[in-house]
Amino acid sequence: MRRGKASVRTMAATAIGVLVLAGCQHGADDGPRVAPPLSGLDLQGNPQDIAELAGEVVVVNAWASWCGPCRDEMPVLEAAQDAHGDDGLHVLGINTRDRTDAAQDLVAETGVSFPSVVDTEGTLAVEWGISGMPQTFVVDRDGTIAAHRFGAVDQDWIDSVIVPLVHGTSVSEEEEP
Amino acid sequence: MRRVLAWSVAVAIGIFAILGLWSAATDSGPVSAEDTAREVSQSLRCPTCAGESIADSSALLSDAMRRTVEQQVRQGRSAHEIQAWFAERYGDEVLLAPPHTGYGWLLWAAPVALVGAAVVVLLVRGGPANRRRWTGLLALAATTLVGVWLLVPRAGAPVPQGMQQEGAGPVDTLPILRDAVDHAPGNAGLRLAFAGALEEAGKDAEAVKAYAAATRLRPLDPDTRYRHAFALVRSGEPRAAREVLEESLRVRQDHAPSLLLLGALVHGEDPDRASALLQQFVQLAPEHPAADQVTAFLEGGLGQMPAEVLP
Amino acid sequence: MTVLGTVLLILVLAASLTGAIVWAAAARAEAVRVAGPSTTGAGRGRQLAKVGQWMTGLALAAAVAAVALVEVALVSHDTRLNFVAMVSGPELPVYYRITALWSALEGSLLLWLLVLAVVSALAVRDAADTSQRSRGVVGSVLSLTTVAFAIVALMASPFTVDDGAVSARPSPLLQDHVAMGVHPPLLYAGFLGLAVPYAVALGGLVTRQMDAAWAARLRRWTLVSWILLTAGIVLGAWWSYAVLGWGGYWAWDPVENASLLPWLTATAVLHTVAPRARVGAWRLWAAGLAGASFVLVLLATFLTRSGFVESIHAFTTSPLGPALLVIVVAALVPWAVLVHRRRRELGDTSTPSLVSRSTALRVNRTLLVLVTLVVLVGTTLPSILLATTGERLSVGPPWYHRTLAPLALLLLVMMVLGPWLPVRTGTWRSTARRMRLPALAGLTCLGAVALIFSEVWLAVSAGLAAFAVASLAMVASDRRRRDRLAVGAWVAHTGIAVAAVAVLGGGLGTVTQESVPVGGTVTAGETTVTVIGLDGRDEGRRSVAAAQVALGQGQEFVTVVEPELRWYETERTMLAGPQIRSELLRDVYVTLLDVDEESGLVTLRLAVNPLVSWLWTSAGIMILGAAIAGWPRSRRAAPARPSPRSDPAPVGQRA
Repeated sequence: MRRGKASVRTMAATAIGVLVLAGCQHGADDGPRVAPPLSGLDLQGNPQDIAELAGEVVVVNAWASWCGPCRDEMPVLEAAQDAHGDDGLHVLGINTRDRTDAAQDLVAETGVSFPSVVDTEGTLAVEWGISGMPQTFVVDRDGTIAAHRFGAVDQDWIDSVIVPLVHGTSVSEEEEP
Repeated sequence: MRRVLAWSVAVAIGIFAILGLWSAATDSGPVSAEDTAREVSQSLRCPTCAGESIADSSALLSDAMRRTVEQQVRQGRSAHEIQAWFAERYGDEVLLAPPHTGYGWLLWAAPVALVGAAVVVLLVRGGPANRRRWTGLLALAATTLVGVWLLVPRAGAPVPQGMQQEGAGPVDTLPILRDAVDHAPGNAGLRLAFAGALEEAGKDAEAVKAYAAATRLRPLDPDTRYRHAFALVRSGEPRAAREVLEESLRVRQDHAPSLLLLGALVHGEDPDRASALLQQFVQLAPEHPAADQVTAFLEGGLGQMPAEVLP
Repeated sequence: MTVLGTVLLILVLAASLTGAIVWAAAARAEAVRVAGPSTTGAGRGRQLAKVGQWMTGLALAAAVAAVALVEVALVSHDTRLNFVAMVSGPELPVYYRITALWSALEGSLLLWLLVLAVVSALAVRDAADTSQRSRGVVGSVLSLTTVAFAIVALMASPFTVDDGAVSARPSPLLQDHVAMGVHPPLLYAGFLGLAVPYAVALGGLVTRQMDAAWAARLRRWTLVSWILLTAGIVLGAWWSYAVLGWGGYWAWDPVENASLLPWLTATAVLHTVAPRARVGAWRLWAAGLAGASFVLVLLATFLTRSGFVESIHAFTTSPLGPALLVIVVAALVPWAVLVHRRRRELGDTSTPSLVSRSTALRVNRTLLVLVTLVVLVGTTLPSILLATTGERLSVGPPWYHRTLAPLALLLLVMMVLGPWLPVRTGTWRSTARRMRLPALAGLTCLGAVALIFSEVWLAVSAGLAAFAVASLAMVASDRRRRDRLAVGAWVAHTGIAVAAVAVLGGGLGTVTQESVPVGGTVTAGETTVTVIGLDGRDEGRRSVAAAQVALGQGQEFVTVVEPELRWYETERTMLAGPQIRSELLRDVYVTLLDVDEESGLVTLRLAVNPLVSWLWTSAGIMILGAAIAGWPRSRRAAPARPSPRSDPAPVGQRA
């Protein structure tokens, strides 16, 4: 009986050990993600497609007029586009779950010039894996997502992440909040 | 004789039960796209909520995610593909059933290990005398467990055939509303909904009656009166419509749609009154889609009333 | 007032601490007396017990006074207490002012302390007929528990909560429905009632007095707690169904699971200490499971109040986590050590026949423990993984369904077969003959349901339910077999089987969500709702938008319902006010999700949920069954209780 008990324990321990070992061998993370498609009409009704910007650095920014921080970062993005647009930097917005008139008002108010694809249903945002706003992605010249920013962007981020990408040196780490 | 009878009844019932189960297990009727989409939605966690599935959550993001799931189901993607698609974007935590890889594997292995340990304990404690019987019993239990495991439906594994489009055709609500009006004759909203449904079905005469009833219930509500008058005009009774509107304007002089309609109705007989009414309308509702036309009409003298103004 | 309240809480602490020492001394005095006869020991023991009882009573009185103090402040909206300003407002109806006590962490801990003090006082009174030693241990353990929670209540006291927390008003969800006044107190009573079986189990393990009276006491307290807990859990499920608007009643949320865990082990205790279940190593199982139940209760309070798990129900993160974890460990260690040390003398080496109640009970206990462990894994492992590896994983309904379904099926089968098995030995043949009628009834029902609904598991559960109902009818109509215990057991088992049918049948519902203009129609299967009007009103505390919708079935009009959306301006929270039409076989559940004034669109969610009312009924049946089986016998019929002086029953012997 004693031996029986000991063997039970050994068996159980071995079984669990094997299970644990077998399980933990997996779990490798996959590499940088290829940017999902992004196309549609912008706030002025003109067609926009990220595919046409292939080979350039594209900053994709999800925003809505009802999101306070989005409002604040608009000028930063506009300034980045102004400064580096000639070197192949484009900003493309996703106007998510918004009323078009309110969005147009915000664009007029902040004076931004970059286009924003209208995403009334929010499915474009889901395609990009956006869970809150604002969120910003940087798509490099190879079409992969080189950086991902949660929350509003600032000039430091532009300088440290986007500028090197535009001018050739690559930053491949995903940024966490 | 009775024994034979009893046995045959028992055997018959047994066969009946087995047949029933067999037919239920093999009969997997058509799965609609909605059902599959809902099942997949139930297996995805709303990233901005506390442990709710996107099927149950009313967050904006969940709504967008549900739409995406529906789109992908319609494109014929399997549940696993859709789940993997979401996991790639939102991380493994979006899956309410963890993946079978990495640490998620631990979550699946732990229950199996627990059951295994319990079986071993029961076997050893069952005593040597009963071990063979115990083994038989446990083998039976194990078969059941595996069977249940396999039969419990996985989230929307089958890809649906013949997908339905959303809102498969208009529903005929007229009989329901008619019934409802009979049950609650004093409900003015119900009368209005009923009248609207009648109008839509082209039954103008009946619609007028329903509007009349609603007007009696809400004599002071200009909107109800306006819709009543509108229906009267459509069914060719402009005179009755005028009476209804005149009454409305006595109660409230600033109801723009009533002013417009009445102005249009009286301009043949009483152009001065019509122009007064229409001017009042333009003042009250300069944003109204018909305002520009009415202005043009007023400025051009009271000639022909543009057709769009009338119902 | 803050000073008075704090003093009262300190009084609870001091009285319980003294009580714990005095009760322990009483137990020791008796132990000395048993070792060597001396009259002084007995007298001292009795005197000490009297002091202990006074201390327990004093703790209760102080706890009552503390709760009364907060309640008075709440009802009169006396904002000198920051807590009152935090949880209540002058616009709140009196009922919700009273219930506001448990709408925030600090007050809920105070209520918890009060319930614990009540339970302790009742338990030491109830234990008056047992030996001084057992009573001493029970009193001491309960007093120590009260000490622990008095410290916790002082750490997060409604009397000292600072201004900083005032902005965090409780969700208006807790002040929107009558059930919130009843659900937490019921749940707390059920949870804390389980402190007594824990104490009694420890008493038995320490004194080795584990006789029939010990089993009866364990059973009594577990049964009452089980009934309260069942009612509390089901009321919570009903609340979640009737208020939250998502149409479900159980989300496998960590906090919901935490309340299920002690329920599962308490169920196992009942199947161990019932008169006809005391077979095999029942003493070890009873002590082990009764102790585990309360440890799991403590774990539940830790999970709910520490921010360790992510849940809708959890209180906001608080610094109490470590203190509560210490309590869990402090309760776990003595229990585990005692069970481990006594396992050999209480163990069982007999090998009962395979076809026997003894085997069935052993399998049943094993299954219940397995279900408990699986739920425990699902509830805690993701949080542990997050804390140790940073890996974020979710465990939700799909996981629980996959892992628990096989175990649940086996449990259901055991549940209907077990009571038919002979207590000690039997054969397949004789057993099969005895239950042939219920078996045929079950198979007929199974076949019919399978053919009609084409759902395997619904058919199986319906078959099991028919089996249980037929068994109940047979047992109740047979004078030789009819007794309260058997009838109560079958009633309770019928309740569980009906619940299984309701849960599985509920899965066959349909849901539609759509935005339509006024006059538009949303359809789910044959059921339609047509929007006939919108309505808005201001109720001061909240503003309400309501949609009048006509409910139709096929071409028939059924009724007009008015689902609402309630906007709470102060809390900036929108709550749904779903309308549920309960019918015999289904619920029609209409939720108003949105009213867009711009477009004039009304977003409605229409769900047809089959058999939901059966689920609530099944809970009533379960509770009824438990009450029938546990109703105290009339004094005359009761067998003479063994006197406290009687020798401890020899442990390890088979019952």
